Amino acid sequence: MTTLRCTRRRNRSSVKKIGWLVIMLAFAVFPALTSASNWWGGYHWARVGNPFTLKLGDNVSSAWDAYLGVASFDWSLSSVLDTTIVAGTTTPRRCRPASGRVEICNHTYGNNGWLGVAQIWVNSSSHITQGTVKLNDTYFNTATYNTPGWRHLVMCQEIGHTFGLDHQDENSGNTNLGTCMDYTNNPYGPPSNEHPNQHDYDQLEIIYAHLDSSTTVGQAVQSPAAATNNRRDGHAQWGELIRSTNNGRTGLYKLNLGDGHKVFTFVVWADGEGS
Amino acid sequence: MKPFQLPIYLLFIVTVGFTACGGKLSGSTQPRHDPLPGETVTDYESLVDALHAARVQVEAGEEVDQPFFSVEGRIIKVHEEDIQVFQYPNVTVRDEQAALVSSDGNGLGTAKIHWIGRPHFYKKGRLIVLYVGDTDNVLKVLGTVLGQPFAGK
Repeated sequence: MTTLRCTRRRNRSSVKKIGWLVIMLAFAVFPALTSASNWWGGYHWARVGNPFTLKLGDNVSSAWDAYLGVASFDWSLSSVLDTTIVAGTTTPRRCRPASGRVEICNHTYGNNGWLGVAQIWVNSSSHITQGTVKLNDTYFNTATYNTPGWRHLVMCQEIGHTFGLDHQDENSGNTNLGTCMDYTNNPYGPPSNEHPNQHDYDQLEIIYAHLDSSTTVGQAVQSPAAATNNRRDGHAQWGELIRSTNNGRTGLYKLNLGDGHKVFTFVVWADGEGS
Repeated sequence: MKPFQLPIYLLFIVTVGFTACGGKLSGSTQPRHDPLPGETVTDYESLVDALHAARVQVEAGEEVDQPFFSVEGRIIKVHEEDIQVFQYPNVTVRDEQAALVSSDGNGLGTAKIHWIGRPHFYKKGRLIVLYVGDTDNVLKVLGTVLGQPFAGK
């Protein structure tokens, strides 16, 4: 009887120790898990299916067009969302939001300390209802920031925030992670921080793994210009090739229609085409 | 005069004498209290005064408009660096605004900011003060006048 009691005590003690070990391990592992997540506050667009298409309102000047096009192209490589560039609805200085979409603006916003600001509006369910991106030409017009690297990084990062993504890393002084969601002093790296990386796409899949019963995403309405472009055939009709990735299997073309109207065409070539 | 009345009379004279000289006496025995730089900061003017008191040259700069703050700010230059000063109607409103700032200073409510340097947010009186940068002597003087930043790195 005595022996049995002692055994029970030992067992309880062992269970306790194992319990503490599990708790300690959980605490040791948990920070790693949380730091791997770059979901901003649980914010996301409500939608009833994937992939969903988010409109990016083009309120940017010609100096930013290519960067907007590339960022839209990059983020559209996600399996859960597509972006489409449409005519903007606001003045760049005010950059007012419009329901169900994201307005992208550039302006000389002044010596306020920031290169870019992404702002989202959320409802009580943490669903994003609209967003804006402001790019500050006060700094981008200076020699330090007037580089493709900085323009790609900030455009990409601010748009990424409007999907509900946070930064992957906020230390500017360490080695680049190879994503625009990483702070850096040198966008070119290596590795380059000008575009999203696989972790961002994986995070988007996590954020948008569930479906909602309603949508906060505006209906994608094709502009007449885009509809016209869809009827065109051949490379030349798509305008200038801005970016090519995946050994030329995907391409982004820009066609200037005049009066500030542009059409961006994303092409994913079948094997043997496009070269 | 009765013999016991003499000490009372003397006590009265001594008491009156001390009371009459009270200001002088206390002035000579207690240490004079000069306010420390920043101790009296409540608004823009008193901030500038405090910086002057700390022997810092201050230049008035342009106005600054931040999309995430409800008031327009003013820039002052300290050691050639821009310091943004936002003055609110009262401390309650200031606290409401300060509560929106994330601890790292990169988020304000539902806005994400890509700063050109490290942000440092201070609050004092009716003010929120923002410095974006890492210049040591600027951080030192702001620490002296405004205390520790409440947000930023």
